[in-house]
Amino acid sequence: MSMSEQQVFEKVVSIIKPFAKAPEALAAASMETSILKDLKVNSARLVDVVLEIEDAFEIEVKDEDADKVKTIGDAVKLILAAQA
Amino acid sequence: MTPSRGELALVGNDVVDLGDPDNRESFARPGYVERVCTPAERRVLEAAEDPERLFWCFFAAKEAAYKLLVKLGEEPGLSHRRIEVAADLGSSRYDDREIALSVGHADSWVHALASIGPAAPRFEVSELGEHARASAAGRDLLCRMASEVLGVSGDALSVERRPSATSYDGFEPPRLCEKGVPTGLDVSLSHDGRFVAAALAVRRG
Repeated sequence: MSMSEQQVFEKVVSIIKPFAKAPEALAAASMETSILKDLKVNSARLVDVVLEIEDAFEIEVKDEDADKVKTIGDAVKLILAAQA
Repeated sequence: MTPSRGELALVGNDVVDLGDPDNRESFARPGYVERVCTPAERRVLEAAEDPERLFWCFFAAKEAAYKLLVKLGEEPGLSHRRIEVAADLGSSRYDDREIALSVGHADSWVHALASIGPAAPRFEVSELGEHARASAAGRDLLCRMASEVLGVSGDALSVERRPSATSYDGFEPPRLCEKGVPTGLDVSLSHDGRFVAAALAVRRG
């Protein structure tokens, strides 16, 4: 059964949570929230986030697709597209 | 005077705290090394005496090269595998562009410096004070280094980062200013865990 956009959003937020250096921004996160700029996830931890997304949603994230992800919304759209 | 393209002297630098528990956990995570390193780099790691340290040397080298590539107008994206680091850590390659590297390490950190042009780059790695904020400590370090190079008071120097709608972290690369005016001296900042690092592209001659 495919997940709704809201379910994917909540799962992505829970994946990012341990890696975010700005937890206060995470509490107010929206689809427009920038993963690096707003949540202060550094590039080393972004690799962890991508790997956890691959595991959690059983998808493969290609390098060129990962490059397009700046916001939580970008990640959600990527996941939904991979599951379609 | 604005330097011509052939005279550009640019730097990118990156520091990694080897004792940071998050870094240690990442290195041990299945798939992490494969996500960051090219097949050629992985073969070098497999033969290394200390693969974890060498891995973070590769990582820092890629990050330093990335920062420099952005200054050249390239869009390398966030995929570390697109930048390949030579086994001797002396250079990196992105598409058909080769970037010179200098990678150093101590017990607790590794540092990479990428540079192009007629520069004799300087860098320094410093440990953060217990309550210091990393971004402020990095700026202070850079201003102190630049003060010595330029022969001006550190109080006259500042580091600015202008917002950018296109960069991943929302800002352009840092600019060193004297009394609010850009010096034209290219600079780079980095911090990770307990350490900050700064680099300057000092012109030769």
